[in-house]
Amino acid sequence: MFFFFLLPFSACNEEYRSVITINNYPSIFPDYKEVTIPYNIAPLNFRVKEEAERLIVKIKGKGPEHEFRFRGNKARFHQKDWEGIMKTSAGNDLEITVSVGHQDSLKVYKSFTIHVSEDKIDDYMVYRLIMPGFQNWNQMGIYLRELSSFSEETVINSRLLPGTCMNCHTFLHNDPQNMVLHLRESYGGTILYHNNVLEKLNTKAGKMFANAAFPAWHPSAKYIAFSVNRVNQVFHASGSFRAAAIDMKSDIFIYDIERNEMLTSPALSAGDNFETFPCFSADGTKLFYCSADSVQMPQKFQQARYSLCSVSFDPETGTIGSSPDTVLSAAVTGKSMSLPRVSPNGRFLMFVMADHGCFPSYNPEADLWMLDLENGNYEPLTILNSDNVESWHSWSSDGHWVVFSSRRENGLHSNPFIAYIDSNGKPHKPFLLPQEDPSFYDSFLFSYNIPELIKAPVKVRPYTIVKTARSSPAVQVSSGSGH
Amino acid sequence: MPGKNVKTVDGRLARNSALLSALIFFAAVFSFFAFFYNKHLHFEEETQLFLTTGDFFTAKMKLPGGLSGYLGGFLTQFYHLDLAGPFIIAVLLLGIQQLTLRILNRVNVNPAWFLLSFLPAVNGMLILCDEFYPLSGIVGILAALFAGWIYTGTDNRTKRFISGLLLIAVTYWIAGGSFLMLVGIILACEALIFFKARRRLKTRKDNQSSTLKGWQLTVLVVVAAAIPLLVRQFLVLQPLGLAYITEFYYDMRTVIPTAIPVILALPAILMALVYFLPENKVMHGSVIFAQAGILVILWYFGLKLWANFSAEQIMTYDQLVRNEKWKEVLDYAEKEPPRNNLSLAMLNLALAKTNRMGDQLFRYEQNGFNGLFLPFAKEYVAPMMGSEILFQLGLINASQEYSFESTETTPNLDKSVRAIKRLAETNLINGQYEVAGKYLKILQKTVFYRKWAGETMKLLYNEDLINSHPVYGAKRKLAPKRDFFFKIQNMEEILKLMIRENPSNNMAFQYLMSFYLLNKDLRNFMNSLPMMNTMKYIRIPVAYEEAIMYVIGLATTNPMANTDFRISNETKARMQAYADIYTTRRDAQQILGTRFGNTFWYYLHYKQIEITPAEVQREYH
Repeated sequence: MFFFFLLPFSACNEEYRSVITINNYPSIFPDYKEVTIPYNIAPLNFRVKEEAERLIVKIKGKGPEHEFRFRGNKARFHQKDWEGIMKTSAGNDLEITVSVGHQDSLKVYKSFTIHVSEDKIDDYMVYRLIMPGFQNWNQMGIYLRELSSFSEETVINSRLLPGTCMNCHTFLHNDPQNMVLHLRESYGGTILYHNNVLEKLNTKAGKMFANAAFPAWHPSAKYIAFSVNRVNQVFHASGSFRAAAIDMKSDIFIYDIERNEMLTSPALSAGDNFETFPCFSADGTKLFYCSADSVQMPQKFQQARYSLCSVSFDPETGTIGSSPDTVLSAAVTGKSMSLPRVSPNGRFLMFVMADHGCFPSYNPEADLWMLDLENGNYEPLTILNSDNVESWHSWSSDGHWVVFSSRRENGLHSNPFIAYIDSNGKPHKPFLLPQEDPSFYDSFLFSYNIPELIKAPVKVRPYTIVKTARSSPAVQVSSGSGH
Repeated sequence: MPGKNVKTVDGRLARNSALLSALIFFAAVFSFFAFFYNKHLHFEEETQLFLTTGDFFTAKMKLPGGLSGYLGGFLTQFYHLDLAGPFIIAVLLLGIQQLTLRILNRVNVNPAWFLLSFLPAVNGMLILCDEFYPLSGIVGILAALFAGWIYTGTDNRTKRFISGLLLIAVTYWIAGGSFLMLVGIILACEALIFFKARRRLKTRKDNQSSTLKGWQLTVLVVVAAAIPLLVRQFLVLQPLGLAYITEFYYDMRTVIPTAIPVILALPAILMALVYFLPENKVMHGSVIFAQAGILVILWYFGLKLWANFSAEQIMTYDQLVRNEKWKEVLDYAEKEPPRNNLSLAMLNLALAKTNRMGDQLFRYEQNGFNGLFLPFAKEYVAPMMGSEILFQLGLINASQEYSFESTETTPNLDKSVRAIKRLAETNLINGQYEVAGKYLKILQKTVFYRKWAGETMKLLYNEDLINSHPVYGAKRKLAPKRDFFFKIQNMEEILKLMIRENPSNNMAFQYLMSFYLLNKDLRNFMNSLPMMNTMKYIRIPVAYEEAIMYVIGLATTNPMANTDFRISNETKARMQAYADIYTTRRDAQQILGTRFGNTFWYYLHYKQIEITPAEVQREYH
């Protein structure tokens, strides 16, 4: 629905033959309409999905209205202008009015709102970039993005460590003071930064059938839980599904950092079961993980459904409980759970639910769900989800923000979305990580893997990681007895 | 660098010879790359992705050597045109020769030594024969020689010192590793000025010029050594070796081949060499001819060492297949029979596409499964070419996988325009329009694929247009409907499934029968023969006749007796002749190789191959 104003009309010091008021929101990318953002986020640059010679963006918040004009169809705000607006807008709404000038007409779209939260998001995000698709890669790296700007730095990349796969970067309490990441192939090993010491570990201890992966820190910083997986990647011959990753075998181990030994228990390495994706509770007395009965792989991979389980853990003695509990049964949900992540206050557990398997990146139906650990209620985070994959979520240090990967844009490339979670666990509409050029994602060939929020930059220099990674031999982790 | 202006009586001869040599050199380089080595250039062009965007330029310029890299890539995209690439290479190499000549003339003005100036250019041509040496290296060398020419032409010591500092820094940033060549020229220049002074060769220019002071030379060397370290520390994260050589000289960044330091040191070595050659003495024409002779011999042996005509053959097959020139592939095979699995697989594809696989499979030396399909490890050529086979068969996801693996194993860590194009096509066929659109948008930012991408964009989201498209629509029809896990080793089961789904899929049938014959699996071959009926064959292809005759010979009954198909008398007669030799002659293999080398029988008896075991099919639907 729209209204015409006849010529001549002077709008914003420009002559347009007609001004059309449109009672719809503008179609913009990224979609920032009605999203909730932190006040310390980089400018939300966007483009309108239509031809435009001129773009006029009015932002009205608590202070005076700001008007920005841009040539073409892209709105790119100056950092200082944006920071000025954000400074006065924390806790308030911004009303955004977009007008699109094309040829001799100006279309004035219905205003939309952006909610600016008072809660600050952690200043940095760490992620891996890799071209998604199949097996090989020739460029890969783990990068650090400052969220209040567009600045990106390298933590480590394949330029420095050629032929090395790098992933599973994990931090304790969103603090890079305790960091672990994995390297595979050329300079394989687990890189651990702890107590200001960087070392490379060989985590394949005793009878472990592979190196440890998918780490989760214990809140005391004394332990790291790992799962050990034998993963097969298979490729579909037809249809839109390209690939699947299949957990052929998996167990969970807990690494005692001080003793340099791996702890396990029959509960976490039962021969007939798959156990994977560990995560400690906020108080450190419980270990959540995903478990499935083993089925014939890969033929029956669609029948592998993982339940959300937990087992007690005594951080004083390193004792793992012997009787696991099923927190959420796959038999009940009919679905498969993976990637449990407990909120910093310990109340919520966010996880991924998919039809089968435990590597949700390959399941288009994979969605984010939230379990309230106080009352046992669980529900989908509908406003965060899409028709495609949502997975690899990470809480902020204050528990009010989550970042997650989504393949919603095209089904192949994972992009990082940030969402606000209020104190009751209610999620707000997420927004795509802003980029300086709003067309950035149109031609960016890489996926953002495992986005993690952290409070400060990674202190270890890339060359130091390289030196440690190249150091040989790595520190051998010993095989401890289960307590 | 100062020099003397000495006239020699045979100066005219030298000058004319210099001009003529330059022309000959230009023509030789152009002809070589245009008529003998052109497919290498196409291959180079296909395995890079050069975008005409500001971001692409900026990203390159942030790297040391980035301008050379950018210009090298910009010029490489013109390899797409048959004659543009050879012309560009010839011009650049001639530029190297001319700049080398000018620098050497400042050391020794005797024109009799001009042919030495061709050595860096010849060296440049030789390394370009190896596809791992990009054109950006030649651009970088040109830039360094230009800087060297400026430096050696600066008489005043202070100016030379300052210009040296600037030139080293600028050359490093725009040209990368060739700044080491400039450093070599500077050191050679200063050393020669020093020696000239010591020899008291007082000339007008010599009087104005003197070598840099010790501290100045030290500063220059320290600056040259420090710049890459500083850049590495504060601007661009990279390994130490790469910080000096930079990434635009050799595609495999983890190694520095000997040819790189040799070519970078060559101008300085030549400066030293010509310094010791007679400067005032009038030389005879025979000296020039002798140099020319040595140069030609070096060039000849250099080409023998560097030019890879086997690779050129593979690339020729590949280019013809990529452009679906099936008949030309067969014609080319008459002149250049395949020498390896890559060429053979392309030829076999052309046989299948022209419906000749059953008749002519053994006309060429076969090599089992690996000459039919192309299993690949971590390298980029086999998956790139293997993708063509899978695409033509209608195995779209597999073709996509192969293309992806190809671009992700490209040695220079770049993306391949050819793979991006195939990724766009396969996603389009699969109806993954958002992904296809992303790839097409990227291709719209190229010079030579922009138009195609624009046209293909029109197909997005338009099912009718795609279904009626002569290529994409046909591929959709061929594609397997039932899903299963693809593995190249499972091709037998995959082909059987495709034929079950589409009983008139003759290409899949040809490949399946060839698979059995090449695998010497006569039982499955015979069991599959009835499918010829549904394929509407009107006669038995020759290779099948040969296999059937062999089975008849073993079984003494004719398995085709109850069918409409008859074995030709000609094949029966040949079989008899083959059997006579096989059973009676001690030197049967030699004789049969000459007379029956192009038969299934000979392949069956004498070709040593690794039998491909049938993998367990991993269907799950």
